[in-house]
Amino acid sequence: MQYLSEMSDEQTLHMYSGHPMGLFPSQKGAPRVVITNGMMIPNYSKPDDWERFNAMGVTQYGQMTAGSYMYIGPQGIVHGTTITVLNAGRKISKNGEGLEGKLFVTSGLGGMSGAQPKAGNIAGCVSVTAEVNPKATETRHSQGWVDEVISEVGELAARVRKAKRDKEVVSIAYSGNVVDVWERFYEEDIQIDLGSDQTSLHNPWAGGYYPVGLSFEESNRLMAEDPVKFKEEVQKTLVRHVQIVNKHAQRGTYFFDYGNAFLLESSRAGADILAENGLEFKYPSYVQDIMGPMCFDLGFGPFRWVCASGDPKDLRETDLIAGAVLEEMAEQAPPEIEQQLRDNLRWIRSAEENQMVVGSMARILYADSAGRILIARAFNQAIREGRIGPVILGRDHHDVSGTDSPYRETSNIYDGSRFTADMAIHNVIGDGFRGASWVSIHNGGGVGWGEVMNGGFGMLLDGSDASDSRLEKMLFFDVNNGIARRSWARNEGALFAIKREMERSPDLRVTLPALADEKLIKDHLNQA
Amino acid sequence: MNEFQKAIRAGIPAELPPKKEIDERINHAPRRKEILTEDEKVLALRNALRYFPEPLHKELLPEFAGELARYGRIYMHRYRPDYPMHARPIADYPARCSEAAAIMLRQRSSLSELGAVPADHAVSLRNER
Ligand SMILES: NC(=O)c1ccc[n+]([C@@H]2O[C@H](COP(=O)([O-])OP(=O)(O)OC[C@H]3O[C@@H](n4cnc5c(N)ncnc54)[C@H](O)[C@@H]3O)[C@@H](O)[C@H]2O)c1
Repeated sequence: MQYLSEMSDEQTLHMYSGHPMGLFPSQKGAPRVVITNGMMIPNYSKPDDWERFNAMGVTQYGQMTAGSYMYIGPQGIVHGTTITVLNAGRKISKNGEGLEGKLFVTSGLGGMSGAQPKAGNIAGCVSVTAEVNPKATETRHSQGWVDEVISEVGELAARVRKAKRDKEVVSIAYSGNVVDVWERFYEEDIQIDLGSDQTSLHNPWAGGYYPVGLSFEESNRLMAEDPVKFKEEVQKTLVRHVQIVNKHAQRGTYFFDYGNAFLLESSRAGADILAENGLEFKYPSYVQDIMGPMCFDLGFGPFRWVCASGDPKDLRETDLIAGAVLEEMAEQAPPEIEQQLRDNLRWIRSAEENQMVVGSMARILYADSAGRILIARAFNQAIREGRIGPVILGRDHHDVSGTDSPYRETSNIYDGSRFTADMAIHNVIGDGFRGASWVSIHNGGGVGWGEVMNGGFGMLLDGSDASDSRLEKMLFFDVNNGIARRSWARNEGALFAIKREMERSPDLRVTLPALADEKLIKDHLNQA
Repeated sequence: MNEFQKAIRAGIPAELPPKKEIDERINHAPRRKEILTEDEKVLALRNALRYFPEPLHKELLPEFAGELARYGRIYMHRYRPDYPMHARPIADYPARCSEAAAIMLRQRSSLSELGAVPADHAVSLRNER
């Protein structure tokens, strides 16, 4: 902080995994801060390497937006979860009915998982979220993010039965282990329509996932005193967890992985989670089924902004500006993207009412590159006219281009390249020289150390012409970089989106794939 | 300049700040497993002490060594900032350029908005500077 308070606009601060290496001379328009977290030589990126090198004080866990100064509380995740639950609801809808009276069962009331009850309410279903840590449950309940807390599983079952019957829109926290909920509901024949899980399975051995049958305190003790035994308990619980989810799935539950490495860790624990081909999992990750094809491939992702004045009036004004831009875009949009724009228009119109601000005057919505640029340009104009104060742009890392993560953001990349991280690295470098005020790149964050490369940026808009030119160049690259990669991987939506962008933008030229016939190749190989 | 601005400008204080009790009401990260060898523990402590002038080392050492033994990490609790962590208007941040002020605003509020996660342990003091 001291460095930041001293630096001029011709210096750059370099942050090495939380350590301020120092201020170096640079130039106007260059990033003021460059952040890296957890960068390792790839062979030294196993969980125990993190334990060791973090304990020595030479590296730190990447995080997603918190590590790049762009965390805005759970609003972003409420938005993302709402969209996911709504679309999952569309998937299980048999006759076009909505989610009324349907039950969503999941776990976790922590940093991000705590958004689930609220998203359940916005989507209009009955939700049960299990949480083992009473402090986390208390926090969310006192903040009004979850309606009711029940700590006895029999009582929970009775309450849920009534809520389903009366088609209540209600969110219930169960204070205890999620496995107990799944098992009891199976015994009592309570139909779970949607199921997921948001324990911190990216960190299974050090407090991310609690074994069933042990109290919260017992688990914490075991974890420190007998880590080997603790690991066994976690693995046993995972096997049991999957077993009971499988049974519910046979009764018709749509279960999806919500990006917490549930599928990955339970397969590692030896649970019955692999599909018949022995390669894929039994259940989809929500990116493969929903977010990837419906959002990221088309360039839609979590754009966000913060009103730096801290004034709620500014936030209201930016909501209006963004709403007007989306509405105009929706009127002219091709059908492929109109639904996206309309969903987000509805969101932004009710955003203030849903009271999601927990500190910063921040807002999120999903937009594509054209939408992000139009909205940002309109903000800059409003700043220039003195209608609002400065605005800080950013995004979640859970986006089109910023993150290479084979089981999450890039899980719907099927050309074999999902285990590479060139896209994320190009993204941070490209954003850096196109005018971001700061950039970051992390190993870890979300799904775990060694499992992901993810990067972000922040950009201050001050109403100047320089801001106009930077926002245009940087936002354009920050979205189209990923669409280009997704289209090269032959993803249909991305091919559509990048061709459309090339028509609009003469300086963009992207290498397009020729689509080889798979059958031709197979036949050839079979003959040989 | 108010207390907050002074604290930011001062960076790591030249004199030893008073010792801090750990606030048990704030949700804390669980204890980490023991992973360092004896030599690596020496290294961890030398690394932590790099941030502080040599004359303070005698007093800081037992504290840091205690944290390492108790939590498996050196959190430098004594240096936790006293000012409340929340988003302030950009004009409150003492800075020479507006981008740096925006970054300070985002850095501080990202931490405070972490909510139910163990914010007290989320980032070590090394970020404070
Ligand atoms: N893809 C996404 O957009 C996305 C969004 C949100 C979260 N996630 C992932 O979800 C996970 C959760 O994130 P978070 O920030 O909420 O983490 P968190 O650690 O703050 O919360 C997880 C909570 O689960 C609880 N828990 C652990 N085991 C349990 C069990 N067996 N039964 C009931 N509760 C249990 C913990 O006590 C903890 O409070 C992470 O792995 C994160 O990466 C992904």
